Amino acid sequence: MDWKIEVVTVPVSDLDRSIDFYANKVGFAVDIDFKVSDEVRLVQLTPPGSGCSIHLGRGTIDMEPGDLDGVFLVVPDVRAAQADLAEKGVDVGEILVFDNGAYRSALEGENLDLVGCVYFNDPDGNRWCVQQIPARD
Amino acid sequence: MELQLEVIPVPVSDVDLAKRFYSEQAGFVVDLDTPLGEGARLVQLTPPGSACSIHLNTMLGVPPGVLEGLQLMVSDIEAARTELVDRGVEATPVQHIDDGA
Repeated sequence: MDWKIEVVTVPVSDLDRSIDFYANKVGFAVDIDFKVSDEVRLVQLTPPGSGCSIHLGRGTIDMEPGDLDGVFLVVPDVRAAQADLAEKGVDVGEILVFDNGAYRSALEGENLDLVGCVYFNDPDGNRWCVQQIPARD
Repeated sequence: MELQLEVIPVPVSDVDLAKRFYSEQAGFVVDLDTPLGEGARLVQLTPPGSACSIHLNTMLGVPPGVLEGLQLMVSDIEAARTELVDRGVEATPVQHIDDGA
């Protein structure tokens, strides 16, 4: 039987602010925005092409907003992804290369497949890593 | 551009203990167990059939055990629970979400 990782819950403090960030700035698609009860609203988004989604959690989990650290997104071109995020106003870091057990700044023109990444934070401080991995089947 | 959600880091206190739990009891496949230098180690596991993996990590900014609210999707929840219990995992009874609760 398959056991697919389907949803990661991202702990946030303000659902509307987070929907705006993930949908309009990072580019995730809003799958569900459903009011379950007065206290609980189910908001699910999925990155384009991803087999796994996120829920924006407020009131449904005990994690503090901003506690999530280091979830990886994979893109075929991290330079283009960084430019795209910066253009949409996301506070994205410089491109880093994992080299010999530590991060260093990327060199111009160097091949970033598997080793290149950038980090960005959401409005609550949840931290994401965007890594370059060549397109695969 | 595609933006695939690929890895969820799981904050743990003991990588060997956690690796045993996720591989032998939860049934995830060990993809990688590689030294990263300075005592760090990259351990990646993937549940069978999943497009997304986990990393076991002792050096995240959050304490072990704080991660909550990950969902695994299976085609038969009763069978999945039986498998887990047979391998010694403390799984709750199957719950039904009904009318928001």
